[in-house]
Amino acid sequence: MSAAPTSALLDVKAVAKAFSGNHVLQDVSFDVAAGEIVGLLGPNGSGKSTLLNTINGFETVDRGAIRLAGDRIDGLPVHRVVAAGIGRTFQLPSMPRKMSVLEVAVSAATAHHGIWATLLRSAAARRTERAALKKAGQLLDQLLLAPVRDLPAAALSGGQKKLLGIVCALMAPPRLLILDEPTAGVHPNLRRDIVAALRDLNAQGMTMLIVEHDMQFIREVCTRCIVLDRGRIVADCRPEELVRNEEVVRAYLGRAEEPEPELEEAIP
Amino acid sequence: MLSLSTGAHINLGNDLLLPVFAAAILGGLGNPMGAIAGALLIAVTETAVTNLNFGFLFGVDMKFLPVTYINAASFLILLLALLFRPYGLFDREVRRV
Amino acid sequence: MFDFLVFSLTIAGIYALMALGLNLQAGYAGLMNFGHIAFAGLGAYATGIAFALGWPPLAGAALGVLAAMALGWCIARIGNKLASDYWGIATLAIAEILRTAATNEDWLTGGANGISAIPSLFDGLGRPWNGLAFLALVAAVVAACALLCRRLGNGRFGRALRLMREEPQLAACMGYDLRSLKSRTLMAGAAITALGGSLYAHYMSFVSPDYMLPAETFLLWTMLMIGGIGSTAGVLVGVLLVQAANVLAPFARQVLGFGSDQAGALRLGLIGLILLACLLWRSEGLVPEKIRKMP
Repeated sequence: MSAAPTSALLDVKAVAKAFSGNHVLQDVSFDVAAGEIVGLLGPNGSGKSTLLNTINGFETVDRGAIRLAGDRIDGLPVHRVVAAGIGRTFQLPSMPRKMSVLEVAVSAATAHHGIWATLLRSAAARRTERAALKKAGQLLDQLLLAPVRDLPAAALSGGQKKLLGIVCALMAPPRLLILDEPTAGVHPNLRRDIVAALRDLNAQGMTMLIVEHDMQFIREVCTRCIVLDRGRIVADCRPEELVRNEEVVRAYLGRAEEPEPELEEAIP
Repeated sequence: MLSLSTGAHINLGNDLLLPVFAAAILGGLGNPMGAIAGALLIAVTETAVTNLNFGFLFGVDMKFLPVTYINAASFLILLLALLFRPYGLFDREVRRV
Repeated sequence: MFDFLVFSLTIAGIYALMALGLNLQAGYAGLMNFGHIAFAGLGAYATGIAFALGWPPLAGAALGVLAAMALGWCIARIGNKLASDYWGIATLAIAEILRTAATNEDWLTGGANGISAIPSLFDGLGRPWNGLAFLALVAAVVAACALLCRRLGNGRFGRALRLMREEPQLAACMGYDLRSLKSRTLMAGAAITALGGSLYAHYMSFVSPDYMLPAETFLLWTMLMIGGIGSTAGVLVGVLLVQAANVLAPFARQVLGFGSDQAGALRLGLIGLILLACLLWRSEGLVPEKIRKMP
């Protein structure tokens, strides 16, 4: 089977996933070319998190294939998918209590982490430690976390934890960065900084897939957006076209704001 | 109720500690009916394993598993069950986040 | 009195080795191992069996370490699918199966009577030097292992373990192979513990299945929880405190006027009281794990 002759970095083809009969993803196909910033939108329950989990390796696909630069990554364990070049942040990042921010960032460096290297403290091990420390320091500075370097990672605010999540994802560095709602619940000032940081990263060539609800963010940052609804892709276009299509989008996004009819009956 | 049949002694609870743990885990934590089923399975296994004549396997008239292996037998059942059903036999334990 | 002190310190050192092994698994990696004593039992029995076969002490220790590492690897493989409390009971089950096998398989382990007359390594020196030499050996091994554990904990491997302990999803997303980390940790902890078991067999000149009772695992856990789970210094403090309680109990008995049949209960009660006090007031142990400062 020859690899698809596209320049797509991420190629998702006919992916389907069901949980106990609930078809969360049905025939999802799209691709992300190198250098793009693709936004992923959709109402709650449309399958966005599941899609991210299948790309990342936390879930397997029932049908279909996911390829990164031509190599299949669906079915691989999470750490192998990460090694192939995918970095990911979480919507509600949870950070360790007993590790400082700097320690968490340094842990994200992907150099070999063997027992013997640690025990013998060989010159090579020390060199990689120093390099990791330096890179973590730089990234923390870049994402404005330098003042909190030595605090326990769990003591950060929600927005700062998101930034730390981005730092960890960038330590690799990945070929594709997946961000799960990077600005949800974040202070507008911090949001500005995140947008600027993401634009900088993209200028340096980083490809991104961003799940977001914030339409303004999508318009500011994304080159393309994909709308997911109840497990299917209903739109795949540029943000401007999406704005023109907004009636359609609002119909989908708006419907999510009405309470479910079953719930209305249940509430006395 | 146990002391009615075997008499109460200080180590009554202690001796039962491990088989009771095994029965609860076998049924799946948080599943009371499962614990009952697990206890039944362990009791039946323990009795069957030590009373069955394994002679036919070795070509001799009588070959029994030593009674002292009784606990090990129930633990082995527990291990095998957990290998195939990691959340207890009935897979209806209360899943924790 | 002096002999008693040397004896107590040596036993404390041997327990320290086993507790360090458990700390690697439970403290750094958060693995709830309730069958830990099986590793020590394998070390002790390997020494006894090696002696029965006429092999030198080092071969016995090596055999014990290898057997314990193999068991650790098997336990890690089972642990992949199991949630932590189920896995704890599974490890307990494995330890109990091993103990039952040791009690019953006379041809290999001497059954309930165990293997006796194991040489004590320094018999030729005569009293009191043989006791002191053994104490020196144990102290050296404990110091070396404590240093190694410390270095492991502060380095890259330790960071990976701590991340896996607290945020396994994040650790996976950083590229850590959690399965491999777990099995390597179990094997490393098993090796240190087996060493302790082997030394115990030599010191007591005797191996018996009672070494592998679940109560011994819980004693190790008690030492860890009192001292501070996850910190090497905490482990040593916990061991010393519990051993001190063990040593002082007979004296307390005389002072308080308990009968000699209540001595065992007094010892357990004292340790239980200390554990309860620690859990209530210092729930992370007397020397809790601190956040490490990076250079």
